[in-house]
Amino acid sequence: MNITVTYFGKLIELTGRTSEDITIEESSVVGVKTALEKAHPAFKNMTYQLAENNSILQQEDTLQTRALDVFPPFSGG
Amino acid sequence: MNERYRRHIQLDEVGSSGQQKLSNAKVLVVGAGGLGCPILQYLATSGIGTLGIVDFDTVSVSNLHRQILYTANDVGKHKAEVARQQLQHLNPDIIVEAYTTALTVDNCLNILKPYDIIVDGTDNFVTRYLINDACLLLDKPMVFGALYKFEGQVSVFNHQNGPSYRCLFPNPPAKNEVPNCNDTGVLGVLPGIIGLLQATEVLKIILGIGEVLSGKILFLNTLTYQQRILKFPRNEAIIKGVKKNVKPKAVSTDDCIFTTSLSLNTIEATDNIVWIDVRENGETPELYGEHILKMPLSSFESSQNLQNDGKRHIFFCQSGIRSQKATNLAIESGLMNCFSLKEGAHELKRWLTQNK
Repeated sequence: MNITVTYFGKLIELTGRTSEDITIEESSVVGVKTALEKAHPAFKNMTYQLAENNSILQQEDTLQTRALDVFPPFSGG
Repeated sequence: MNERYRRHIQLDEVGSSGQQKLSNAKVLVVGAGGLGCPILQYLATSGIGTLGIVDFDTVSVSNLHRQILYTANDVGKHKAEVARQQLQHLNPDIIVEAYTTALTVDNCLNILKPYDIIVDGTDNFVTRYLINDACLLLDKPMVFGALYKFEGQVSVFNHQNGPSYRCLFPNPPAKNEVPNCNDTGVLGVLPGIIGLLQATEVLKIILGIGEVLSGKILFLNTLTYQQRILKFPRNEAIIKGVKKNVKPKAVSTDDCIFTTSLSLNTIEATDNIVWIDVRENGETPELYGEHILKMPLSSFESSQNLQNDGKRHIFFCQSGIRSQKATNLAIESGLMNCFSLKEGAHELKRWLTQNK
């Protein structure tokens, strides 16, 4: 299944784009993380969270939509 | 007092009683940099009765494009003290306290305790997690803001049993994962935008109006105005884990405070600097000057001759490796404002000649 992920912060530079379509094998947070790390190995060492429907997903959640936000913590001030 | 705040008092949602609440409020802003400056300005003019400012740093020329409380004449002076004076001019009716020290695990509870609301205007994860944990221990709301280039995040943590920063990101990023603050560019207006969103949350909390960004984090990208308000829940287990401690524990990560490497091309000759040569005696080129101290690493005693005097302490050696060790030793001994020079003595010698 294809989903669209939108990147924030440093992840835009890391992937070179603000959003993209990725293929996931399992419609879950774990499935998305696996696909992201396959497409961009650097994600393995990154801290980030996933959100859909304006809510942050917990590790055990399954997906309700096909549009996800992926964002890291920011530290600048 | 009423005339100054007339346009506030005219609002039904504020009124005289609301203005009195602002006047009674005590707000601490940690970090008087890009975020802290606009936050402090507007909280001062809004009539927050007591404002505290925590910042150990001094003003650098490269701060001036966004840190709007400071002028070129302030370079080298303590930010917290300059900010205090400026705010006192903006509003002589309020009390402003300056703390020219870094927030640490040892002093944070005492510094935070007298205040009702803590605002995070810092530029590093170490202090953000420290403020978060201290706010949990003291049960105070924390108004959070953070930046990355053209984007910002805003949220309110620990407000009326809402979630904390650790409920969103349980631990700081690993070393090298996030660039340190001095290495990342930022559009000058961005901290103004994000800082004023934080100031707005402070006013809303005190006045009890609107919907506070508790349990939600706002994302804003100023290049596209793409924005998100994402909900996230409180994680009881994580909060319990923090609250069982008597005082916060320092987190370890690799940003501002702990990376501490500076390159010559980011250093201004006008910065108030003490150079510390940690090479052994006899290594060349030898560098002399009134602002150059010799402290060979082999006999390094981290605190000798060095004090938290607001000056920037930059350690150097031949290549930037021994200086990193010395910097870490100095930081561990409690010295603030310590950096390791990325380049070596040869490059520094050239730089010192050029910047005489």
